[in-house]
Amino acid sequence: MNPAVAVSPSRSRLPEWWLTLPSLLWLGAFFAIPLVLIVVLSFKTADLRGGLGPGWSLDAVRNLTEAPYPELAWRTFRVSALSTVYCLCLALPVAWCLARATPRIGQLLLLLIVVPFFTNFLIRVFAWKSLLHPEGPLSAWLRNWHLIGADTQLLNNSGSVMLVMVYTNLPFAIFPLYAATQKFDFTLLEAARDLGASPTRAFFRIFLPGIRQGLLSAAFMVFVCTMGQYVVPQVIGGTGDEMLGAKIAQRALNDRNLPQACALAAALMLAGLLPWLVAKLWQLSRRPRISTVSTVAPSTPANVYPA
Amino acid sequence: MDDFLILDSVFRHYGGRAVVDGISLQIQRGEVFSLLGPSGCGKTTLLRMIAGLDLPDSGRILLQGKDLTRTPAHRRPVNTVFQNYALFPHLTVAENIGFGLEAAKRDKSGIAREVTRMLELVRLTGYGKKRPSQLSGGEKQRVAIARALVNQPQVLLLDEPLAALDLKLRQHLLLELRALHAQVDTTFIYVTHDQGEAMSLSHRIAVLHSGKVEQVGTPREIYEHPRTSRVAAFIGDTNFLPVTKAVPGQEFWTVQVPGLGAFQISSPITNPISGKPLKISIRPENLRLWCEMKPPAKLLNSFPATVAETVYFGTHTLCLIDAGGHRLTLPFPLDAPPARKGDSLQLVFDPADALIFESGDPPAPAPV
Amino acid sequence: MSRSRFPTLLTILVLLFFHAPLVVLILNSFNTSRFGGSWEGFTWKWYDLLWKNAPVWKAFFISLKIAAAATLTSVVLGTFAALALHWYRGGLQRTHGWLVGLPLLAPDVLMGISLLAIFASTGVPLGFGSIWIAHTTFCLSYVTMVMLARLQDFDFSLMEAAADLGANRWQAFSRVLLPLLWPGILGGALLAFSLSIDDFVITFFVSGAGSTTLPILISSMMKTSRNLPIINALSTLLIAGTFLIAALSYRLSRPPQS
Repeated sequence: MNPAVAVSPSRSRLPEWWLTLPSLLWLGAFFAIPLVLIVVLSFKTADLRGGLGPGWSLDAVRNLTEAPYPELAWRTFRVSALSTVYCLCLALPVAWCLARATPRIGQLLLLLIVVPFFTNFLIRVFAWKSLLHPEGPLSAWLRNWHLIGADTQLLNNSGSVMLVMVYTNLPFAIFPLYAATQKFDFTLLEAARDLGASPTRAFFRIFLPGIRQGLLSAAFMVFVCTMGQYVVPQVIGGTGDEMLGAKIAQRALNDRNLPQACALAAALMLAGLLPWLVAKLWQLSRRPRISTVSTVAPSTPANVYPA
Repeated sequence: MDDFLILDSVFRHYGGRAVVDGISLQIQRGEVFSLLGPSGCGKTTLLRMIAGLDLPDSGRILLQGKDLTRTPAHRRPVNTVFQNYALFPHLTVAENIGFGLEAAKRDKSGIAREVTRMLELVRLTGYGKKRPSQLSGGEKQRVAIARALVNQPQVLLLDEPLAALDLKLRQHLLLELRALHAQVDTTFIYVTHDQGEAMSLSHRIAVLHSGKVEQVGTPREIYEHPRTSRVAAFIGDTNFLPVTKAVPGQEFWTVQVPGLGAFQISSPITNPISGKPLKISIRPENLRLWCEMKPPAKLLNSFPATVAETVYFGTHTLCLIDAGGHRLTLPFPLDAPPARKGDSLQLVFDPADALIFESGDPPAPAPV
Repeated sequence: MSRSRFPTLLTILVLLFFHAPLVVLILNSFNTSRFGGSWEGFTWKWYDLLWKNAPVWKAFFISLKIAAAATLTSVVLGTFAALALHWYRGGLQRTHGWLVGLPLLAPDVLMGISLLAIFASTGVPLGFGSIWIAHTTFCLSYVTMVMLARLQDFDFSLMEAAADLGANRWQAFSRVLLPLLWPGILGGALLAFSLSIDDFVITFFVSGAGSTTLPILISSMMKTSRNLPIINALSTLLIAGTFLIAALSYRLSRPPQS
């Protein structure tokens, strides 16, 4: 055969860029850059009329070490950690049921969980506010049963804040756990039982490690969500229950001290990043790298419709 | 005989290796040409390049003299029957079949007529309004064929169309495909890993391995005169025996097989290099029992063997025999006296039935 | 695994926990009693007051307009993003994937303040435009996720078949890709719409004086006890509306029966 005529195919990357650029640019401009900006603005001076002053200063960052911030941070962290634990404890049985249910019941259950989640967040919080109101049904009911005294307030109560916090965050725990539980091979538990393990032992030694990824995702999601919460403590709790999120809002909108608000927000970001970083590094150190090479070129539009 | 479709030194690299490694083929008008080989040999990639769904890194594809290499898929007079049928789930059977005609902007009544004609051809009259989800595997396959053929392509590409069907259905549809080819005047290119399909359907077969063509020929040529041990091993069953010494001669070569002695083998088509490790290949059906042979007319190679195992297959019994430390297979037809484990046999084979190959190829997996 | 009743029991309790406050809310919207301590008789009074409350309707329409605009942009951007992430691999898409996934994890407060920061430093006025940008930003990620899930079920060989049969780029797009992706797009759109209507925290940070959305109005109404029952009525209506939209979105996000 004659030597082949060399053909350089037009396997152009253009379609990929056309599809990627819009969202990439949008999110870059309105998500990534703003997050970086927060850190940058923490080092600016505040203008008394709101907005930013001309120079740079470490004041905003330095203030973070003074009252009320450290106590606020500690309270926020404590509440977030506790609510994460509660949410996980409640979400596990639910995810278990969802995964073990027949497809029809599973779908129904999922719908029942998802629908309240879709109603307006404020309304859900408000529902609790009205429910917990001193003259509301729950207080009246509990008083009738002598479970609480005549003076006890269900609102402005740290316990109630935790309750509503768990209420709003529970779906965030259920979804990742549900996804993980679905992928879990339940015959492993049968095998464990066959080998003589008690249900409890199988649960802790086989099931929990098996859904480890889902547990971590759920914990992370709830923790991060709660850290940034501000509506619930504000509406349900009293001044002693205030969390970081509300302070950020207050500094930014009421006090018009943008740099201070940014410093706080940057601290929040770091607090959220840390557990994630730890988890990622731990994950990377344990997983071996597996590379797969397929023998057929992937189908992309560029192949089918060359530019 | 005109070269209808020419592949000229086609290369395709992917992931650092050559998936199609310089393949050149000349396919005749109107024939059924199969690309046969194990998974990963590049046959599907080659087919997709003919269809235009993938671009070669270098080389040319010519149809009736026209260079198609850079033509996009939708402008090639080539249609494909996909392995998973790829029927449009949101369209009816009639709309699926008419899709290509619609894209070509034919008039509605013309399309309707063609679709009806096609449905008759694949024996699915009346199925027009059904949806793919309502069809069985065999019916979907026929719709896929109809959808491709209705556009009267110059070449029809079939990508392992019977792979997803069970044995009986496969056998049935294979015959239907033969009948179909006889009725339409189209060149078929058929990709498969099943040598039975390739042999029963094709005029010519190209055996592929690791992106290269091992041999091109009619089914008979490939079966009786394989050029490499890979082809011999892939098509049908065969027995391999290692060779320690080979002395070339004009009509016959004399080879030494360890444990069995010297044999006369017909001179090979290809020239195996004497210094390299060699092996000989003998098809199981060419090993005969000494007692069956009439007085030998020409030289015969004979050796003793013991029956190690027998496996019953319904139509025949397969015997696994040990001879000189080597394991061979040998079919016993039903009317032969049954062989039992431990029986001693004397086997013979004709020098023309054995082939010498270079032993560099990876050993064939043990048959059975 | 032993058929322990515990998970089932707990699940039922959790479901009750989820729905009870809403049920009470709905009931109380018909309750003559102002605080719902006890049932004092059926009434439409609160709905009547709601109907006459002009600021509520003004805020409602502003929310609708923003939601419509944000849905449009986020669906377009999200569909492109999902196609890119599904079809291509490599460094660009890895970064792209990260960028699209992160907003789902970021707390609202963080997104709110960061957007406020960039609007303040670039001098963008806070109003309809800033809210629209904010909503599109967080809806984009959700829409992309929905579309990606739908694309997983999309058989790309159908596009190859279309090309093979002679359809050009546009024909393949309009006759094969779009019809099959349409339910997913619609599902994504409904999700984006409900997320936008619902949003409070982020909107709170980036809204200006004249652009009070419904959630912002509700939040200021919640601070005074006088308005509690009206909010009950409004909430009931919103719950009903969200229920319908959620059901629709769910049905459309599922793969086709094939």
